[in-house]
Amino acid sequence: MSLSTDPLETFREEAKELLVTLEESLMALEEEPQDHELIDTAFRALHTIKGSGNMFDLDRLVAFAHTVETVFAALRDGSLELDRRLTDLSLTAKDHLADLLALGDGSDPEIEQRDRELSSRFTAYLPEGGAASAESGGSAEADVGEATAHDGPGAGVADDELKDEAKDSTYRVILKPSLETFRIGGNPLLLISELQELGQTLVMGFVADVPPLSEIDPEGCYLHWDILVTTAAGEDAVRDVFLFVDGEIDIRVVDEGGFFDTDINYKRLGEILVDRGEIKPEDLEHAIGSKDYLGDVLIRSGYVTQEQVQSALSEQNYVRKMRETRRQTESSSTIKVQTEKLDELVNLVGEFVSLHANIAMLAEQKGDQDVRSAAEQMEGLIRQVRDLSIDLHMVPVDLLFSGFRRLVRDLCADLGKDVHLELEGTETELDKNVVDALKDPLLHLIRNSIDHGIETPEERSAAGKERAGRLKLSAYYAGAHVVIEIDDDGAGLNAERIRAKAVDRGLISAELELSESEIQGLIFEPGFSTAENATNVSGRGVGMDVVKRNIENLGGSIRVRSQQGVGTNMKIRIPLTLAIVEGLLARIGDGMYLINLAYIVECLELADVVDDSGDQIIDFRGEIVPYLDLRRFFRLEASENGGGQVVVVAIDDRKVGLVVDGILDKYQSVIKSLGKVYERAQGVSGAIILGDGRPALMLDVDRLARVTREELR
Amino acid sequence: MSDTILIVDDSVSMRQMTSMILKSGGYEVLEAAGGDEALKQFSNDVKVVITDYNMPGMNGVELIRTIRSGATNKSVPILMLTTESEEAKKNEGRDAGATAWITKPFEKETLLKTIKKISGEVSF
Repeated sequence: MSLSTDPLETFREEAKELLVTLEESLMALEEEPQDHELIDTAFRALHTIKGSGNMFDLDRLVAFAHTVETVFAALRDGSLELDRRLTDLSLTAKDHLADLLALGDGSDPEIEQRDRELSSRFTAYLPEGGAASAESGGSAEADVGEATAHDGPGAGVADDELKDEAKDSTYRVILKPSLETFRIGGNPLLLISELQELGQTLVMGFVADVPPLSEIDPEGCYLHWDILVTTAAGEDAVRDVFLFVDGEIDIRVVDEGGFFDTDINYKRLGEILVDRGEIKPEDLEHAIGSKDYLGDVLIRSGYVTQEQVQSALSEQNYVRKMRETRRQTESSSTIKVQTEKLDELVNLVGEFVSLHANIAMLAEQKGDQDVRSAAEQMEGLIRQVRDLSIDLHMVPVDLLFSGFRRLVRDLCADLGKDVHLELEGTETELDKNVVDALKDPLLHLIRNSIDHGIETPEERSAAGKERAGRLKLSAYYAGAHVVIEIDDDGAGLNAERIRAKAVDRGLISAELELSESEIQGLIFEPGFSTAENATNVSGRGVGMDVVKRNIENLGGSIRVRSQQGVGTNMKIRIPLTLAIVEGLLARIGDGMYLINLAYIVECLELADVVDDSGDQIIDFRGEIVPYLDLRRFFRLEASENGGGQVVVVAIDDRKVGLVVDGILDKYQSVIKSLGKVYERAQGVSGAIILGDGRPALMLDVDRLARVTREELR
Repeated sequence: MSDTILIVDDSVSMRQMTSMILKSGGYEVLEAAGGDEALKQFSNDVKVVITDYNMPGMNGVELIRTIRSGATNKSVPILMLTTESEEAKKNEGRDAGATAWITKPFEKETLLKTIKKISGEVSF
């Protein structure tokens, strides 16, 4: 026989040979009607044609072969005798099978007519005249049903049911493989791991049945398991896993996962054991009478084993945990709260923090140990409430970023630019108020970037850049701050032109030597940007100095880094929350000042680190750091023991020292605005009310650091 | 290193069909037309045996018994193929030591899934 690569062709060839075999045995049976081996051969030929034909969907052939095969099965088991008439009929059937084989899927009225005639003549040989003999499983349709039943989840009708109620249910599977399991190629571990793919499981193994070493059959399987599985795949999927288990298997739903099934508490230990059939209810009744712990009593009385109790307890625990998780996820849906209410809450918490500071101070003064420890406990609680209320106020920065997509698109259309906006770290969370306050500054910076930064496609091509410009907004956490960067690959800042313009505007003297980054920083100076360079997009009378001022009002800072021809990077650092600032309380003269803890590197005795040269610098771990005497800066009267402490602060890794008279304590508080009158006051950015009612000023560390560096020149 | 599966079936087309399915699933395939031939090809390298029930000479159940009582690779997973009229034979196969059984005709996915289930290819 020549082998075709098409199995259907091969089948045709094979079936032809089988028909020859059938014919030969039929001829031989004419001589020896009682020869069992010949009947068997004929039967097998028909059976193979039917079996293989089924795989190729040759329904008519299969149906007819089945009818004839049923008659031959009767001949084989002796319930029917072969006579001359049947032999003749069978030979005709063989020819008909050959015709059906040749016909395949096609149709031929003559053959179909003969098919019906022959079929009814064969079925006439069978008891009750039906083709459905006791041995037969029935029609081809039934076969298909059989086959798909193995397909498990994702097949047939079960799928639709699942869509309706894809709820997690928990099933208890009691798996007791037979002793023979390993010997017949079974592997319970595979079943368990297959089950684990369905969902969360708890597997409890029982080893109590393992006999002593002297009696053990090393190839026998003595283990059994209780398995809990939580899955939305449905009971059929669970049963499917254990389709071929040799041994005992019991699968039962223990938790439906319904919405109303919300009672966290699961069955009690005794109930579970009865449920599993491990203890008789009357034995349980008997044991419950005892005062001792039920599990112990049951084990001691020999009703159940230690392992069984352990397993039941694990089940109890598992279902309870699962229900708890479910309840949590069901109730984790959000509710909307007006931001004003949240603001109010944060405010109140802030007041609470201040009040606590007052109490702590009083307790300290009174020296009452009890009040002090109560105040300390309170501090822990307040911290939690504070963190939670701040957390409530956090929104992802995406809220801000994604709003700019439209802006970028519209700006591109207006200005004839092609800009691709990238957003990164959009899940970073910020205080809702900070996000709101950042909107205008960012809007301005993005406008600037597209208007002045990114070139037209033509200019970009000429410069060897891609025609489309790239603008990237990214956000990430940095300690108690969030950093937002606006990065473009545009033309960058032209240092010479900035310098010339700054001189022109009288911002700097023509002789002043400045580093490149200092020159770039000039764009934030008041009076630098004017209406002259404003297009109708950017500008609008708002300069970069306003952007900077806005950001500083939020307790943040902004830096620019740019390389001509390559691009510009704006880096905004902003505190996570505006509501409450944690700072170090310092004394300068008679006043109290708060320094934001987020900036502080270290506090030192000035005398230990001061440089003798007379320049205002200190030696901070081998690093030359300029310092500013705040007493002098704020023009305060010198007190006799003043200027003793230096607080080293760092902004963007650049350190400066701030000299104060004394450092008092860590302090957290709500920052109050100073109001319009003090808008131009330099070096302070807000005020707080101390525990004893005195006010303290919040130092504008960013501004002071800049002043310090300027003074050094 | 794909797993080797031994297909035992007297029907060439069935062998060919099964073999195509298995190869599409990434398996190596050995074929035998009957029990005796299967035993000659059988070795420790065979990961799964698929055998038809109804074969001339040594039938499927006899083959399973011979493998289970032999010395080599006797715990190999064995998948028995039956037709719907051989339902009763399932128990016979099970008693002889068949690991699993499927009914002809079967879907491609059913075969591959069953092989996966019994051959140890479940990810841990």
